[in-house]
Amino acid sequence: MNLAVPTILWLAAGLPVAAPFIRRGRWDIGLFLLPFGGCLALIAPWIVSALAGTSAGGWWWIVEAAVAGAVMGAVAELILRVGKPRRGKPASGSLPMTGASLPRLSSPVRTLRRVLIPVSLLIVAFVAWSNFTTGLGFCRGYPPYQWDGYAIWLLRAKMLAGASAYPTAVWTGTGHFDYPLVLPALLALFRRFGGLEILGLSSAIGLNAGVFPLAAWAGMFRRIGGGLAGAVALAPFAMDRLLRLQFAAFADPLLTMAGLYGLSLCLIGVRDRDRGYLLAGGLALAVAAATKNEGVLWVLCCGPTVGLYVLDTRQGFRKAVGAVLCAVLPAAVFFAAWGAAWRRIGVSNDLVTAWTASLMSVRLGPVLTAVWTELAKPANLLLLGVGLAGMLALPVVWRAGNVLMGGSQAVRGGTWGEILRTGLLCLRRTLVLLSGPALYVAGIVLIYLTTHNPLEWHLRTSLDRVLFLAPPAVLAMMLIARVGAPGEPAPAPAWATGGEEAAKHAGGQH
Amino acid sequence: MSSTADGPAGGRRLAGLAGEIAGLVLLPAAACLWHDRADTVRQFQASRLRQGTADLIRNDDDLLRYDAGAATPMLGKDAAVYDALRTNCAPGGPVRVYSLSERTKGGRLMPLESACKLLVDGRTQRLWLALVPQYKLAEDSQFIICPRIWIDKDYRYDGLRLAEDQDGPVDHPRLLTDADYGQVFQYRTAMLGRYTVLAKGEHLALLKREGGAP
Repeated sequence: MNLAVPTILWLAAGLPVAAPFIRRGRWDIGLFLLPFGGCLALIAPWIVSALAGTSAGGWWWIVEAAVAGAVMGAVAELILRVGKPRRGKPASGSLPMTGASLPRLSSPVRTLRRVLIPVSLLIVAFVAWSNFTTGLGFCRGYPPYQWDGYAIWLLRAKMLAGASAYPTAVWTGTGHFDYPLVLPALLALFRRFGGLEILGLSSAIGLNAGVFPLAAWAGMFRRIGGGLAGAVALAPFAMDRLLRLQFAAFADPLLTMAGLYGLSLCLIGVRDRDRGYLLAGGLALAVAAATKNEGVLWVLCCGPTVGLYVLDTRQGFRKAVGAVLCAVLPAAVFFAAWGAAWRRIGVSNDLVTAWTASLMSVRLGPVLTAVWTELAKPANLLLLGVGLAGMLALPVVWRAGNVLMGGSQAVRGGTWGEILRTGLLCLRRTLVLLSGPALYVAGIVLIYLTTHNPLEWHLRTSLDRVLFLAPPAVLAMMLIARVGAPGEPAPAPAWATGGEEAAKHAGGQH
Repeated sequence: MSSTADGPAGGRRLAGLAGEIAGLVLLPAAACLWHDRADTVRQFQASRLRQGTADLIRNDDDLLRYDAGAATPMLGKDAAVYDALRTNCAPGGPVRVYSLSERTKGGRLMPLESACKLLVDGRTQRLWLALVPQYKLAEDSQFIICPRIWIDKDYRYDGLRLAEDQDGPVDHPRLLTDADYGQVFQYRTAMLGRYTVLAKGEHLALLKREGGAP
């Protein structure tokens, strides 16, 4: 059993995708893209094989993956070069308040911070330790494979590992024929080049739960700080059952990580006006679309959110179109290719088949009830509450508290009118950012209304995991936008192509 | 953290702000983790239980046969079917595996609440996992793995009349279709013929078609 060789191959496959960013000194984006770009590069040969019947066996797979990665890297290079943005004015969506004019922290706030941060870190360290040891336990001994874990993902991983070309046979024998291939391709890599059997693959699955959050943290910490980047990277793991399903070889945890981190980078890209981040986020969103069909729905919902966020920060319609294209286009290209592949194989989606108005009307009540029950779990409400507090309440409370407690008078616009204006701006941005998860949940509701499966069974066995994305996304979006939110200092604009200038600033800080 | 337009001082303030936000976030997020893991202790125990099986399960062969204590045993007693197939059919040969979720022409599925479906389908899928890619899953195989219920029950007349536990050749094993709730059971014409029962596991059976593949 060898984990190192396939891991190196996986990350090496992502190197050509990350190369344009690394060449510009954008190591944060480069590190982020290694696993995500590797995933996209590794499934490309199988799509080509399905379409053209070419070989994807043995080392040929890796060679083709390297070529696919180089093509993606070349496209990224082109996008980074073409249409250099002009240096312009900084974001105007914020109130005229800069870092230099931040109010001095009042004493109670300072005390609160002194207590909160160490306690938080202690608790997080304990949770991380418990997750690690529990996960390690799940990795060893009898692995908890369940249902879709072995019926779809492990089965396809074994088929891919043993095949020299796209194995169409098994697709006619298992459910969800059109599900894409990132997870099985990744596991097939570990089986083929690491010699991992069914039992050993649980180690590879466990590795995923470490590599992707680490990459996300590496991609974000220079822009939003180590603590906040850690919170966003860990946010998926706040979802009950996520780690258990991760070790049961389900694809939903990977979908959650790719979808959340992709959107997070896109939002940072919009906030900092950094095309490099937008592009990296778009590639991660493509991994989400290539993991499960719900990922396509997620990307469709991210597009409007990114566009609205650009408009909300008054960067203009053209910037909004460009940002949406960066975020959505990689996933759209993947989906077009994969759709062509499964149409050629002759399979179709097997979920959304019952489109009768009467059936949908009968199901609406139970589905909405189930979705509400799921989302209103205490942990989800806490995540949502923290996000809303960070986005809505903190800026207002900060200013109001400062005025009331006689803080520094250096606060420009620190009047009650400005406080009201801050609140309204925060509310508007909250609604903009909530549009993505809200659309996603609406799409999930629609799927349950039209499923041919028995509704109660379908809800019971899948609702919690298809909603893994929504609560952490709310938290991440609120907090990422919060750093540059109205009432907060505007971040350094990255006007240069690919944000080199901002990277230099960031590099200077770390 | 990026610096602000106001220079390093602004950057430090912004970093401080981000640190504060992180503090305010991490504590509730950690509380979420803790709260939703009300079964944390149970999970620890489960993980320790799994770790305890590490010495018993050293490879895939052990894994497929392991039963005691596992919530979802891979093959359990149906390992007999797996063994019989490996004895009678060399690796690389074709084998047909039927589950209860075979689709009808209308595209409808078996009622999924059916306990037999849950048991049989889960075991069938684990058997698929065990067989591929050593065996070729093919329609035209003379070896058929099917739910044991097909050969233990005769649905031809009144639906749920139990037949004796047959060990000899079986005529026309039938596919239980989506009409599970007492409506109609359909023949699957592809399976018409005489079959020898090579092995019977807990939920599955291995049949061999007499006279070779259809």
